[in-house]
Amino acid sequence: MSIDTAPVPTTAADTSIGFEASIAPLMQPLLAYFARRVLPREESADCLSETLVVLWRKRASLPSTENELHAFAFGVAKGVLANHARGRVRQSALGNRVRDEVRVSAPSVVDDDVRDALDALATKDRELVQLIVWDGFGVAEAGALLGIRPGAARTRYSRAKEKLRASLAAPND
Amino acid sequence: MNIEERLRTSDPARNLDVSDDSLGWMLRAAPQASAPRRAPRRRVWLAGGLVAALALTAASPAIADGVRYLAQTGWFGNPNPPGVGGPFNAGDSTEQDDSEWIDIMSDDYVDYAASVFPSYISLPAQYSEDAFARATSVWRQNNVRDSLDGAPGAIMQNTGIVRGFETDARCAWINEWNDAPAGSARQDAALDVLLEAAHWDATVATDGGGIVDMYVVQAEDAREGKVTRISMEECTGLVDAGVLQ
Repeated sequence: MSIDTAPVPTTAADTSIGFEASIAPLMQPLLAYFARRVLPREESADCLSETLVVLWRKRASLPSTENELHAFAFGVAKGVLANHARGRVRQSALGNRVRDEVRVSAPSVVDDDVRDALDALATKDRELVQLIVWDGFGVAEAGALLGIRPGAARTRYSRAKEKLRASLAAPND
Repeated sequence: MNIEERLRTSDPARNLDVSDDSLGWMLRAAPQASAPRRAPRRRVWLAGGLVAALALTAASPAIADGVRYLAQTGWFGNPNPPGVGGPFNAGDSTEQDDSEWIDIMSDDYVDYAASVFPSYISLPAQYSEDAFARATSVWRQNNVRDSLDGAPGAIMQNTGIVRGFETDARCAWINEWNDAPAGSARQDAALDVLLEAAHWDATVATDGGGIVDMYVVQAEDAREGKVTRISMEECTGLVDAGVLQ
């Protein structure tokens, strides 16, 4: 899925057109990231708008490569998520259009067994699993976002899967 | 089903379906939303040791000149007394324009404020203009009093007072739109005013960047049916104080 924007610039994303082109591919993944973690789900629109505002303010220093920008944007999103947990993300007009669409398409009901199994993991392990399985990060990338070395991330991920398998009694994995 | 498949089928965002059009709009609007929206309003009134003295010393000439209200300081523009140093450095002036500074803690502040309620501001039918002006002024005075933190006084420029009325009236119309049945004449009337209100004088004059545009987008989204409720983010104080009907 792509968002209609101007052509990708060759310079840093410090103009509005360059900014749009750089960030557009991240919009759906960032929104999904918040929709997976924020309740009520529609507040993910406000988290996304907050993330955009931060990214725009930092536009002069955004990384120039796609991978680095991806990691940087999710690092910002992680901070916004923490602020949301502290009640510091406000409803904004910027999120109005998206809020209703999220409410309709991302109901708050999830598989109870899976939710319980994930909740039984340590916080960092749970986030590691979610980043890899839901958000599509590689193990090393997910580890980097959480401040975990690649080797330790692999070990943690393997161990977390074992725990989940036991919790969900999934012998075929 | 292996464990990763099982997790994927439980992904809360697996059916998330938000249009690229909406996300594209959001992305394009981000620069406006990142403008310093509250900066002009945060410094709209000043509190400090010199403020009370200012109000006292300035009140006499103002009365001598035939001005009716003690709240009027007779002092315009730069908030420092002429030729006097003070907490507000001329190089760091916080004035919005050349309008008069008004003593918010004055006993007749509410009377003064009600007297400058702009004639171009309209209100939903259930409000009396004078009662609305007074109720919002009392609420604003109480807010400032609660924020003084020991300072003996506070002043605000007349433009700030008018800007406050514009914001309050906009809240009344947003509340009207949210309360009215969808697609009703009441909603249409409210939207007409909200679109006009984005361009009210003090709103335009104090726009630190993107405010007018945000109000226009907010009203247009409502007109196009993109929202079922207009945000009352700016109105929570008035709601809590029971000013909005």
